[in-house]
Amino acid sequence: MSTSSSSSKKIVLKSADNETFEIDEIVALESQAIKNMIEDECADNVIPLGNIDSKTLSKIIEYCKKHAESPKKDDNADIDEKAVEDLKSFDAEFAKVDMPLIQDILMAANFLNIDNLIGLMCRTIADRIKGKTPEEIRKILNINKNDLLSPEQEAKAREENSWAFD
Amino acid sequence: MYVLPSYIVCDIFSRLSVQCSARSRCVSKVWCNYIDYVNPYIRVVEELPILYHVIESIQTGTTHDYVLKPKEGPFLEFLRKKPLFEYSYAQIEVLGSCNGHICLSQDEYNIVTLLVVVHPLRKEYYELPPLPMRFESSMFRESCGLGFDASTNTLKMVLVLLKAYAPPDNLDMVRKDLCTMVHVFGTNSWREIPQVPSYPIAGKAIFANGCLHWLVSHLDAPTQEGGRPVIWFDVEKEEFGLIDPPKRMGDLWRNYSCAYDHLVDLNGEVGYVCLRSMEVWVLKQKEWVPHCRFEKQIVPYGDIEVLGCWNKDGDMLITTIGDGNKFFVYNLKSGVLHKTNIVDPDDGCYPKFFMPRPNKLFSIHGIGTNSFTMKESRFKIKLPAFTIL
Repeated sequence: MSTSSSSSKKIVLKSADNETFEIDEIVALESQAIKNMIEDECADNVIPLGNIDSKTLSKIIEYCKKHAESPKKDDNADIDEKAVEDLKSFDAEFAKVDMPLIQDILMAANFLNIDNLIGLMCRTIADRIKGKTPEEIRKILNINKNDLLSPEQEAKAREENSWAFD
Repeated sequence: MYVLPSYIVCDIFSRLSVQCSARSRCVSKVWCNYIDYVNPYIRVVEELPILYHVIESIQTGTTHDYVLKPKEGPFLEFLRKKPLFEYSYAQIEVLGSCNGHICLSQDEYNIVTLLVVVHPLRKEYYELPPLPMRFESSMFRESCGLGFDASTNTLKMVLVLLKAYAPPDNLDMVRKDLCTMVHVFGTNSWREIPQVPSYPIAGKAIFANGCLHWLVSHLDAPTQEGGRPVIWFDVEKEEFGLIDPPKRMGDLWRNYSCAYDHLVDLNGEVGYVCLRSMEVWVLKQKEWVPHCRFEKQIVPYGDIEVLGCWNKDGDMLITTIGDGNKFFVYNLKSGVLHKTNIVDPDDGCYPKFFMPRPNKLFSIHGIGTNSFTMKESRFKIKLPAFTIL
């Protein structure tokens, strides 16, 4: 895997708050959306990402870098277990962020079409709400009071799913 | 939460139990819509994970009681590969085990639709080719068995089925309809072999000493009084044989049919549990040797199932049938029954235990089903999972 920064092609990403990130093309290719843009030759030197802030974008770049550096599964059937384990522990560490950032990353990963990252974020959200009560889930996901069901609607929902509350 | 595309919402909910998703309907308006919206989608593609837990037993200080606790979170999850048919009622059952492999079936409307073999420790999953014919999931008169052929180092799956309904009292017809199918692991097909057992078989197979063992179906047993003979199948030679049921050590103290008698793996040997006399026998060189007899007072209702050996001393794990599944350990030396406290590895699910090999305790703490709709379902939806000791 090429790590020399001088020889490889560079891509510049620009966040919503106008911060620019220069990254190797190989890292940017982790995003299916950017890959398509590059392949269709409709990517300028700078790719503006008007709906992703710099905090989220830097996390996503961190993820893509790591995953771009790791050997791909289909490259070679007997990639060493260590690399797989390494990537797994990276993912686990990566997901240790607060819920708003997870949701931002998920939205951004969806926009950029990064499959593995979408999966990781979904898994993280699911793990955090697994086995929790509705009240706890509201707290975890920071659900706005205005978005709650009316007391009647909630009572109805509970009644309809009463089996799930035993 | 933002407005997420439905496939992402579905991704998240598919990782949760149906119960958890259903509960989440009252989290917020958006969630209620999400779940109602993705609900039909979940019904079709839902993949319920099967969770394997390691369970350890702790003997509590002063008493002789045992407490079972999950050692850690699930260490393996596997997902059903195929989407379940919409509006189906599917269940997963454990059908047997061999050398650390477990055979699982998925059935719909009482017909087995899929057989898989998993090796939880090695995290392997093997799906058998589509079944050649109708296989009743009740296994009252049909069964399967997973065996190991040491001469070729391969696993074999054996199915003994009835090609058509044959009344139990017409043995000639029954024998004409019996059919044996064999699948050798690594091949793509089932092959019918000419050998068939002399009676239909029932229940789980016990693999011991190169042979699979089943009880003759209680409907087809030659006599109701004499108990149910054992059918064996030599996995290497592909031959069947018959062993008469054990005689009795003592008096019958229950006037039961032999429907609940069962075979059990007792540290690698075939055990025969006769519930009418409360006796356990062990098969040695195709002869029955008395193993133990339960006292009337320790199992007052007698509705028990011996699950297997608890330890090297041969103490047995016993569960009560019907009566909310209580678990006991029977001390072989003292004849004393100890209570156990089985702790649910997850919330809302009921453990179902299965011991594939000596000292390995597998629990399915729930059986996977998928519902018609979450709104209408009042029955428990449980996730399949296993526990290993």
